[in-house]
Amino acid sequence: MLTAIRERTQGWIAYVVVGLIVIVMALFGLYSYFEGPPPNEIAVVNGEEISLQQLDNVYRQQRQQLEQMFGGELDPRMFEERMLRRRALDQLIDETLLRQFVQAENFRVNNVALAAQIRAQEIFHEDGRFSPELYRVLLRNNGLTPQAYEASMRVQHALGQLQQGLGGSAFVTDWEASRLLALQNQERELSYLRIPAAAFEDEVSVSDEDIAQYYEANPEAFMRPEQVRLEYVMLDPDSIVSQLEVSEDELRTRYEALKDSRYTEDGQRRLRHILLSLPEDANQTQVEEARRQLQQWREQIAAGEVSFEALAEAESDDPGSATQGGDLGWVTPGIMVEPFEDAAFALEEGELSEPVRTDFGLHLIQAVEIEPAQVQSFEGVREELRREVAAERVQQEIIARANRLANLSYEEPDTLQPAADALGLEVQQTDWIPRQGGEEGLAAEPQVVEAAYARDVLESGYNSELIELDDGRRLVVRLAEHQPAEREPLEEVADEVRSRLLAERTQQMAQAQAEEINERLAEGQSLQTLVKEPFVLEQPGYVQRGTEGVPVAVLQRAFELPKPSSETGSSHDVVSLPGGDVFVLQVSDVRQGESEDAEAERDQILSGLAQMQGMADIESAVELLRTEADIEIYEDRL
Amino acid sequence: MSNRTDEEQIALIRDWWRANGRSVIAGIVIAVVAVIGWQQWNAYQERTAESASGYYMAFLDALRDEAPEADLVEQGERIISDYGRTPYAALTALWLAQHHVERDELDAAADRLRWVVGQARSEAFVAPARLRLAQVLAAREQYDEALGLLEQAPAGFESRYRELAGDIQAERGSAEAAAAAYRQALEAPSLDPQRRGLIELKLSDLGVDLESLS
Repeated sequence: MLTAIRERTQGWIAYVVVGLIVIVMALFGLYSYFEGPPPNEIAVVNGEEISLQQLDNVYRQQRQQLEQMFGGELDPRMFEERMLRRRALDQLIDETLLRQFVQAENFRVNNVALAAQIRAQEIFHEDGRFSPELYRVLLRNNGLTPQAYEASMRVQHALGQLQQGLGGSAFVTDWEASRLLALQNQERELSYLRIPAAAFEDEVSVSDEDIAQYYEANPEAFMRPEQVRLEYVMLDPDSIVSQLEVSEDELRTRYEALKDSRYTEDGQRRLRHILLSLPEDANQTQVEEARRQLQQWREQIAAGEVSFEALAEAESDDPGSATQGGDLGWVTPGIMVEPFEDAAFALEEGELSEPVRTDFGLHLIQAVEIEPAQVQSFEGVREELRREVAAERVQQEIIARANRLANLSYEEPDTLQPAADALGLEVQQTDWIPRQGGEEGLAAEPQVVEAAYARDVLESGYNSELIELDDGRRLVVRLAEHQPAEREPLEEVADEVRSRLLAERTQQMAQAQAEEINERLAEGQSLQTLVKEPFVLEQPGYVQRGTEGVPVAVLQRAFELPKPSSETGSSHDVVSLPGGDVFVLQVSDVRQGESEDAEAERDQILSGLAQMQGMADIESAVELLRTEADIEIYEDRL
Repeated sequence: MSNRTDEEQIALIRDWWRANGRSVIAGIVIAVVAVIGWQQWNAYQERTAESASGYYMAFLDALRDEAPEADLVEQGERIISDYGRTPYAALTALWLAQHHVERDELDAAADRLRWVVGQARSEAFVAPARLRLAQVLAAREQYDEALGLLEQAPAGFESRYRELAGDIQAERGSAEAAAAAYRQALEAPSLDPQRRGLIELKLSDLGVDLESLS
């Protein structure tokens, strides 16, 4: 037998088999080289793949968070999708790196700690306690097995240990804290001279040539941005609701259906009663006896021999109402037990009922006052009903109309009129819309702006496609007028140029004055001796970084200047504000400031700083893992 | 060669087995022992890490509840000595260092951090430990040694290392060197805005123009 096999293997079959294997291997081996990475992959981190689905999930989560933060839709001009996706991918890569790190470092959680942690999660609690049943159900509903969930919890716990350990153990030494506090509470003795540019207005003049020259020399200034005006036809759900016809029959049917529940306001009546209580299993004789008694009182009251109130007070077995003369107050239908209610609401005003048997006993009831039920008439609610029916139909209706609008404006791409006529709409016009969009109206709708500047509309002059706005309005636009970016003519801007030049020149003069004073200061003169009209000397004394009342730019500069010393003398500089004023400032001393609540402030700064350093340590560690890792990103799939 | 009978073939196999049987069995035994040994080793590692994790969590509880000083230190030291190969030893040493700093025991803190720098297996623990060691040394005014530690910054930690180096230089009165260090600290690609503000504040206090930075 063995020989037989051996003989065969040396025959042609063996060659065929080996040949097939070689072909298959060659094909598949090479194939995978041609194919590149699997199509579902976006990145590989140390050999671990990150899939496009993972990226999509994280991206969607982050997007939702951002949308919540900014209240609604994200402006695509501010949040580019690619950038957001890139950020989501970075987060995924960081998470993967950290996970790989805790696995490689052998972070572990024992079962007891894991169980405790799972038990502590409130989502699995029922009546304040962990419920194994709920745990299993919730996991199953989310497509997880306990094993998978527990494994992911292990990783979470390990990540928590790493981040808490690395970040939480950061500290700030007293040496650092003292340095920082000294910096923050530092005080500098400041004086400054304000040189108002306006003071030089009389000394400068601006000629027409100056203006022309400036206009020529600044070709990029005074550009009016590119803008367009659009024609549009708009479908507005609100106006469709007010136009939609609804048949009389339909309105009637709806009115009848809603009459009792919505359009009838229940009447109410003020009742009083006298109760003779009976046990539930009272026998015939007892009931008859009570009935006779009530009948007798009924006749006496009707004859005016005795008042209902007095009798109720004396005889009624209902402790709540007896003292009120039997009064039950205003009663609407649905409150009292059935036989009582039936009898009470059948009474005319002032009428006395026959004795009524309820579970409590026998009642004698009187309707003291009656307010009848109010039914709103069909005419009164017709418009409301019509709007309601129309609103229910408008969705359907607007889709139908929008389709017509889209088709008609596509068939005749050079005009909107036929579409408008067919739909009974007006062709309207927008105001000027610049390329970057505007603040209000259609200019504030990014989709409209995008459509307006799309090539088909802007260059070819065709109707746009149907645009659907967030509020449900739909429209088609076309170009009405296009104004390319252009320079405004000199005549229109001459005044502006004049005031610009004036401001520039007066500030130059103020600046020159300031520089001169600054040089005197360098020679050792003091600011006080250099004051002259119309300069204003301010001497706030020792200021801190947050001191108010000093121009921010001056204060900031004061804390940037080198510290004055006995060799170099005071520090000083010139600061000019865009508004036109120029300042010369002088710092003559730096001292360690006192904070009012030094101890508390110190603690606060210390813990804040330690926290910040801890966070930075974690971030830095992740970055370190990144540089050590082998990461491949398929950017083109982002 | 193909004309042997079945009997001859069986005899051949028997002979081969007589000659090589022992080594084959020995080979199989060694392989089985190796696999079992490896599994045992892994299981042992896992058990060790798990109990280290348990002790570590207990240590954190003690730290949070401000347990008596001696207990706390003893608990921590047991993790460091008995579980030195787990990450929990490094984390415990970092926590103890913080604890010592808070109690103004700078020497003890420096020892803990030196242990992490010397013993931790991963650079992700060594890099922050070195930085913190430099913080402690600076507080002890051992500026040269601190600056020496900060000279070579691991990837990702450049900004932190340079900032502390700047602090030390500024404290020593070397404004130029401090400014250079702060400038490098500001070069980090994704600097937290709060940290950026702080470094800029330190830099401006040296009397250096921020505009000249670009």
